[in-house]
Parts: sequence; structure tokens; C-alpha cells
Amino acid sequence: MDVRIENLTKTFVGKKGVETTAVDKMTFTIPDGKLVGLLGPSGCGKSTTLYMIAGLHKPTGGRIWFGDEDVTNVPPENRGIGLVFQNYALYPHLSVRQNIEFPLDNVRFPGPYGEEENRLFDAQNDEKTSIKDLARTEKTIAKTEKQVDSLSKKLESAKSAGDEETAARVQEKIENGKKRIESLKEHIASVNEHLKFVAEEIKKAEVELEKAKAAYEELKVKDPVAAEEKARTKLSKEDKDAIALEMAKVVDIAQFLDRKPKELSGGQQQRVAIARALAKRPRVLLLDEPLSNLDARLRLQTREEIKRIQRETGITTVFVTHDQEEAMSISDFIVVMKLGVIQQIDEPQKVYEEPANLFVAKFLGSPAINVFDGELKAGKLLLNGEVIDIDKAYKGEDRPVKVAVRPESFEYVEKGANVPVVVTTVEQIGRDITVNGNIKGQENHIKAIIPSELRAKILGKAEVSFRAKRLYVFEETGERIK
Amino acid sequence: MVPNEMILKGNEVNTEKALKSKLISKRRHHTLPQWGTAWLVLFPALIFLTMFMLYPILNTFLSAFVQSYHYSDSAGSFAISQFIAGVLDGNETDMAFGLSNFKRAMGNGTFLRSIGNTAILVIIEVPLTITVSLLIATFLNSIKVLKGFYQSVFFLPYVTNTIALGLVFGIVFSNTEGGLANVLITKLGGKPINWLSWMADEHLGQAPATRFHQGIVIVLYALWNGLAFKILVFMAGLATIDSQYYNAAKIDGASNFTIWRRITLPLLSPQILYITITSFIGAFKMYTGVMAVYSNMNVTKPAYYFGGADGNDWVPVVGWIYSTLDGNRNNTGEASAASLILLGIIMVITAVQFAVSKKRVHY
Repeated sequence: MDVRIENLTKTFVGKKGVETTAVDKMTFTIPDGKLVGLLGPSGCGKSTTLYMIAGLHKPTGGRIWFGDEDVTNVPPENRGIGLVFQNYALYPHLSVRQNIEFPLDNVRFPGPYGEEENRLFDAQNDEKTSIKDLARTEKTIAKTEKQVDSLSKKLESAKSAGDEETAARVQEKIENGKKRIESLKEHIASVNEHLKFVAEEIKKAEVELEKAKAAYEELKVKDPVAAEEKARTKLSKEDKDAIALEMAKVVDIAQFLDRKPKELSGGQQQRVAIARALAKRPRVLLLDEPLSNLDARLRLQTREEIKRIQRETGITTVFVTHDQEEAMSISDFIVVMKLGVIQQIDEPQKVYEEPANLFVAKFLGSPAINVFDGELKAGKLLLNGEVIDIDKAYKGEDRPVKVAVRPESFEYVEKGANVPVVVTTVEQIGRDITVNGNIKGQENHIKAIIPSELRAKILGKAEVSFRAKRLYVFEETGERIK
Repeated sequence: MVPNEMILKGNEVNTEKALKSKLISKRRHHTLPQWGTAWLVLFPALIFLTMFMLYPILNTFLSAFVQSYHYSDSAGSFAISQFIAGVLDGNETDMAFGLSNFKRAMGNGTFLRSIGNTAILVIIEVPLTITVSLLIATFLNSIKVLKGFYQSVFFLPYVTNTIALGLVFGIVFSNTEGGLANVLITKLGGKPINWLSWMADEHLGQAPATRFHQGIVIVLYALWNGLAFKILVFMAGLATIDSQYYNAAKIDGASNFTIWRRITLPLLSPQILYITITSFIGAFKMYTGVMAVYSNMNVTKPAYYFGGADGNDWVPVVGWIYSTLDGNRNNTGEASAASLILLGIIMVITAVQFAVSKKRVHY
């Protein structure tokens, strides 16, 4: 089942009545069975979006669809979602098993003829409210008629006094009152019509209920086991235990079922939280910063684990993160957000290789992309007056632009180098060396990562020229120029 | 460049300072070791603890176990000093130890009645106040509008004087001055009740107050008096529960009652244990509350009056201990024995609570 977000908006009103828009007209679709990462710096509205999908936050505008069902106003417990909180929110006084079974404890079946009973109950309720509505409307009509009467007297007295202005005003009021009475009478007619329909409905429901009861009695005689199965309103202890064990096996914590959450490591707690979220077999799994509470090594491991669990269960999954590496490594799609607005939606590699704007380019990749000043002149890209991108022609008038180059895109070449860098430091980290410096004649800091074999060629030089294998050009305002 | 001279000077000053501080620290180290400082700081508290806690406790034990305790003006009611005086005088014959004081206390009908009274008050009041304050605290925690106002209202009894509160209850449950309770009852079509007075009122056609009616007033008073602090503790406890648990439970489809029963209560269990233990102990020791309820009656009555014609209708254990001591210091032995019996009961019940709490309380 896919999840569709349409024009989703969330505005928070602060204490002094100041409105802050956390999420602004977001529209995107999460394809069925995919793992989607909401990525952005803190305060970009990604968690708010997640909580709106979960139903814990009420959207200010827009709609949320699970498949064909509009869930915008459905309470969280009826959405069929599993949510893993950032701090896991495992109930500390319950064992792992009890934690996983907690959602199952709240599952209710309608019983042997519960559906029919509910139908009757709803119809009866409908009848009651309609009758109340009728009484209330009749009262309003009586009140309005009285008002019209007194207004008519006023009109006559105004007419006899020759006060045309008042007469016209009162006349208008009378007209309005009459119109109101008309519409109220229409309403009464429609309610009466509805009541007839409801009476039919009640009769039908009663018959259905009798039928269902008789069928159940029959079933009791014919097949007592099936009848008992049908009469259940809750999951049995055995069923719950079986599901808990199954979920625990999926996340690989079956041996810890009888422990309390605090007796587990962070990674294990995380997995319990996922098992709890999966226990109700949700249509959508939501993860809020799932890895932020883990140490670096566990983070890598859990990353793989989440990917595996998602693949195995095939549940449409949304997760929130501010860590671009995390988002890149496990998502099928990334939604990059900034200040409540979507910047780009794409596959991880696409987002990295084809950033839609300067924000996305800067946000993804570690170390961060290098940005420096260039200019467009007669369709050519110039740096310090020299053309640096010979092959490509750019449209539009001459203007200053921002040029961005990923650190690993710098190439050390003997000939054809076009990005002159004043070197400040050279660090060797494993198989790579990092050259720190700035563009000649500019303040912009530059980091270039090149293979360590080139160390000898660079060491001792105050200035090195690189060739940018791949470069991105942006407007001063941040939009990409292609 | 810094001139060499200055560096030298600076060095000199530094060494001098260092030397001085070294000397000081050395001297301090020699004259007063760490444990010495500790004792010095503890000294004032220890003096008062010894005078007002330790000595009276030992004294109580001693006077409870001395066979025939006689109050003497020279030694006052201090059994230990009397004991020491006896030893010095060489006549310790009347200081024989035994259980006669306990026997006397257990043979006293009023004391036995006071144990019964206290038991009834404890059994009714403790669960009642805890339940009510827990409900009020959860309610207060879930509202936003007027929360501060209600919090203040419920906290008022805590800063109100016990006797003043008792006076108010006396007026509310008065049978003569048109007490609020009786006004309400007559409005609802009932007959006015003699709540507290031990005297029959022929004019109003009322019999003396029954123990049941007095008990209602006492329990209501204790409830109102005890609510504030418990609500405060529960509110503080509720504030520490992470709201994510509630969000998680909501997503897991738990109803509000289920959330309260399965999440709020267990997570509040440390506070509930604390309140249970302290209110059990408090209820066992209660006696001013009972006296306060009767404080508004305009009849001459003994200093320790607990209702009824004999002033002992609702006498609690501690009340009995004080009224026994009042005017007759020779009863010190018996009173001490009674307080040790009460101590024993409280300790057993607290131990039971701790044993139960090991399973039920989640820290």
C-alpha cells in the first residue's frame, strides 16, 4: 500500500500568537513496500511530517492517504501504523515479551454477532440524534416566528409613523426571518425523510442481528470449535505469545523475551521497539531518528538490520534522520527537506549526483561539497577570469554564480588543471590525502581528496592546480543551472 | 619580549605563594584529619539528635521495661537518670526489669479500644486518601484550563492550621448552629444528624452522636487534611513520566483507562509506595486530627477529648498515650509500653509493604 501526502501543512501557534509553519504544502508519494528517508537539518519539519503520518499531530491543511483510504482524520490507533520512537519509549516496567504484546492486548474482535450489533447500535444512535435535531429545529422555528411577529408589529407602527427608513430595515429583517423559517422547514423535511430511512435501516439491522444470532446458535451445535473461535473478542495468550516470538525472531532478540528493557543494550532496545511496532502487522512502519541513540559501530550494524527487516516484511516504511550518510545507505528514496519545504525527492545516488539546488548539494556528502565563486560570461563558466568548463555552454545572461565541486571530484593532473588552490595543510588519512586550502584569490575554503600516491608531487608546494572532473553550477539564490 | 627580571620576579612571587599554601595545607593536615572535620561539622546535629531523639528513645525503652516505674521529682520522668541515681545510691531493688507495663497496658480496656480505633481509621483513611488524591492528580494532570487554580485549591489545606481546619469541620458538622452538613441534609429531605455532640438534644429530638457519625466526620477531616501533600507528590511523579509512553500507548490502541492502569500507575509506583508508607505511619500516629474535630464544642471537656461521654469514643493509640500521661506521670511506664507496641505494629506493616513493593514497584 502506498502512502500519499497532499499539500500537507502544519502551523504551530506560539504563546504570543506567532505562527510558525513547520511543514509547508508538502506533496509526495511513498511507493508500496519502499523504504523512504525524510532527511534534513533539525527544525526542517521532518519529525512533524512523520508524526502527522502517525496521527499524533493534526495537520493544519492537506490530506494523507493510505492507499485509497483518506486517513487525515483517523485517530492513530486506527491507522494501522507502527511507530518507533527516537528514545524507543519501551515501557520500562514490562518485560520485552509484554512490551511486544502490549499492542496485541488492545486488539478487539467484534464477537459472534458484534458487527450486526454495531450496525443496529449505529442506526439507533442516528435515530436518536435525528429526533433531537428535529426538536431543536422546531424550537428555533417557533422562536423565529415569534420574532417575525413582533417585527411585523414594528413594521406597521413604523409605516403609520411614516418612518420609511426603519420600515425598510424591518422589512428586510422580516424577509430574512421568513427565509430562515423556510430553510429550517426544508431541513425538517429532510430529517423526516432521513428518519424514515433510518427506521428501515433499524428494521433491517434487527432482522440481520436475529439471523446472525440464529446462525451462531446453529454453528454452536454444528461446530463448537468454530463457534468458540467466532465468539472471541480478544487474542488468546497463546496467540499473543506466538506473535511475540515470531516478531522477536524477525529482529533477532528471541533470547531476551523475559528481560526488562533496561537490561538490554541500546541496539537491542531498538530492535524490541521495532518488534513492538511490527506486532500489530502495520500497513506503514514509521521510524523517528532510529539510529541517533546508538554508537558508531552499532549504527552501521543496525542500519543493515533495518534494511533487512524492511525487505523481509515488505512494509512501506518511512524514517526520519538528519544524518545524510544514514539516509543514503538504507533508503530507496530520499526526501530532502528544509524549513518545511521539500527540496528534492530521488534515489539516494541521484540526490548525491544530481542535487536540485545548492542546499541539497551542501547537505549531502561528507566531507561537504566545496563551493566557490565563479561567473558566467558569454555562456562559458569562468573562475578568476579563466574558462574552467570548456565543453559546456550555459544559457542566459552574464552573471556571477556559485560553483560546487565534491572533494573527491578534484583530480591532480599535469596538464589542463583549472582550479588553482593555495594550500594550507595536507593530511594523510589511510589511502587518501586531504588537501586543505582556498581558491586562489578567494576566501572560500577548499578540501580535495586525492590518492596518497600523489603525496610526493604535492608536498611542499604552496599552490596546486586541480581539474574538477564534475562540477555543479548554481545561481546565487541556490537554484541549479544545467 | 618580556624582560628577564620580570620573569624572575614573577617566579619569586609564585614560589613564595606556593610555599605558603604548602605550609598552610601541611599544618591543616596535621591538626585536623578529614574525619575530624567530619565530626566537627556533624557535631551540632548530633547534639540535638542525641538530646531529642536518641535519649528519649532509650528512655522509652527503659521505662517500658522497668517493673514498677515511679515518677520522682528529683529525676523527673527520666528513667535513665533515675536508674543511674538508683545505682549510685545503691538501692536498685525497685528497678527490676520485666513486662509488667506491657501487661498493664494490654489489660487496659481503653488502650485496646484505642488500638481498634486506630486500626479502623488506618484501614479506611489510607486507601481512601491515596485513591482520591491519585484520581485528583491524574485529573489535574490532564486538564490545561484552570490547572493552576485547581492546584492551589487542593494545596490550601496543606498550609492551613490543623486546629483551624478542625474548627471549620466542627462548624460544618455542628448540630446546633445550623451546620452546613445538616442544612444540606434537611434540604434533601433528611433528618438533621447529631454528628459530634455526646449530649442528647431534647429540643432537636436528637440522641447523642453515634460512633458511626463521629467516625464519618473524622475520616472526612483526615481525608481533606491529607489530600494536599499526596496530590503534590503524585503531580510531581506524573510530571516525570515521559509523554512518549503515552504517545506509544495511544498508537498501540490502548484506551485512556488502559493507559492509566498499565502505564501511569506502574510508572507512578515509587511515589505510590512512598505515599503509602508515610500515610500508614501518619495514620497510625494521628491524634490531633481527632481532637481538632471536637475542638469547636462549647462544653467543658478534658484536655484530651476524643468524643463520647467518657471522651474516649474515638481515642487513637497516641491520643491514649498522651491522655494517660496527662496529670499522672506514674503512668509513664505503661505509656512507654504502649508506644513500643505501636512502634512494633508500624514496623511490621512497613516491612510487609517493602516486601510487597519489591514485586510491584518499578524504579
